Amino acid sequence: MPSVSTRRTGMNVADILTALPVRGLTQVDLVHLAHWVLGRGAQVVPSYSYSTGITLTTGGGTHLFRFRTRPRYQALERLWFLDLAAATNPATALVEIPSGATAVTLAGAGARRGQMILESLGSQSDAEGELTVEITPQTNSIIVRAISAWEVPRAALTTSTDDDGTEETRFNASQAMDETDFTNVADVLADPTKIGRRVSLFQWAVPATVGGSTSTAFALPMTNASYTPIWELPLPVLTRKLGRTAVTGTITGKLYAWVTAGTADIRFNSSVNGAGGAITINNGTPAWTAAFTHTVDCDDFASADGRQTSGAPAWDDLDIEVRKNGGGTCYVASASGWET
Amino acid sequence: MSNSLYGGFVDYNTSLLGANQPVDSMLWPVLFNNALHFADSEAHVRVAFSHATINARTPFDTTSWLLVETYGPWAHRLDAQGVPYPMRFRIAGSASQAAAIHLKLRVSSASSADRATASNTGLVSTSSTSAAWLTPSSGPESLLTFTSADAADALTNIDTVDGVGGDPVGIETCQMVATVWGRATGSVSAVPQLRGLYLAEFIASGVG
Repeated sequence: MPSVSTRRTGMNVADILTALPVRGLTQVDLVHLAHWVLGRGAQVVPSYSYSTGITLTTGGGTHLFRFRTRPRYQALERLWFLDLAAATNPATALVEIPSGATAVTLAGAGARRGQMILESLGSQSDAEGELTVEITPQTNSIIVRAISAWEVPRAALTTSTDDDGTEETRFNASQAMDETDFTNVADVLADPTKIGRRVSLFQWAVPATVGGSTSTAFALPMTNASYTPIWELPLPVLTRKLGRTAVTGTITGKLYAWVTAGTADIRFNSSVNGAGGAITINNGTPAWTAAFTHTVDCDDFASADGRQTSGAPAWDDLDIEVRKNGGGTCYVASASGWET
Repeated sequence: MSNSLYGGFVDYNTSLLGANQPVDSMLWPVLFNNALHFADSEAHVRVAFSHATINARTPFDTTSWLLVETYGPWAHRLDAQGVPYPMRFRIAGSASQAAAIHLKLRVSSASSADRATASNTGLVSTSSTSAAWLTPSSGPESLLTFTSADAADALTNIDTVDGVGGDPVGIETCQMVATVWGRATGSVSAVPQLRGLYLAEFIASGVG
């Protein structure tokens, strides 16, 4: 069985540097390490807070939060943690994850501790898509203080060509081994889009749909004719490092946004790598934008905390900027960034 | 520090690995390199936001740390010795009035998250009312480190399934949470405000 270990598995590099045959047990170490990377789950929604909390009122009905990423294929379940507080005690809320699922009642606990909801996925996929959370306050208004989600680690993978597990018993001493035993681990270690992606560098969302209708109550209004950051402060960002000499990686972003008139230009702006190319939206109803990408700093394994060390170590701070053209307002209700 | 042979991903042609094809012995170092490098890079962003104004709970005084907010838990990555990998962090904050305040980040197991003064903490200070990312008092490097005792405290068995709609199976997770605490040092009217937080694992710094 292609098992997934809780701890990272070790490998003795000396075992494969001597030009001698590679022992079966050494090959098992390789497979276990690949399984550890593939199967321990990714953070699909890094925890986030917004403003003084997002106060949802009882009269509004449903409040729909939208996130977007390209998850890992290996995910079967996700654990969501919602930190809800009561604006006035007592307060409860019905929560659907995803929107349309069976509702769970959560309390506005006031203890500021995340309450857990399990999302069981109907199928496995690594296709880019939307993740939704629908919250309906009941007795009193609810303050959403934080939201996060991660993929539940796997106990074992399968040997399908998408799940990418490798049957490790095939590598035991004196066992015959054919190319099908070897294919999955060899294929996945040659394809960075299948292994080790940071599926979310940031996620941020407020409801753009309240009571089933478009709402501007929570979305950020952007009206400036010059590029203006959507947030008060830029966010630190570091992608994984790929090539041996790489000092940057690529972030992909999308906003859930719309304009009341004219158009809006949207781009990333990195404190280290400058502004990226812009996309333009003109949709009058809320929708996910086209993807916009940019170069940002990647991990530097030679530095103490992973920041690039060329010159003085510095954080790469990333702004999402909006420029409004032709009057009107651009509303931003979700912002998502991930590695593809 | 990189644990891989070449310090980065090395591409190779998988079409050469078809049926009845001999495997070049020099492919093994590449496979090992890539597995080690992907493992070194397997660090997830656990908390990331700005544009917030989360106040410390009130009333408070100048001697006690009071909880501002809790984030997580998440399933932390463990190294080969069972030690949670370090985390890099950054804290943005401000004071509600122009007087010195401290913000302290702590990462721990959920069961011990209610203590502000234990280990694994990052501390920042400011007296500005403007939001800014703040430099840790420990210096420019922003890394929290852990011990196997932290993992022992945080290891939690949970149930999952062995496939879509499949049978239940148990797995072990190291569930860590981040708590942010605030304290004023002069005026009790200066409320510590959390304005942003970034927290991510840094795998390559640990034991391969």
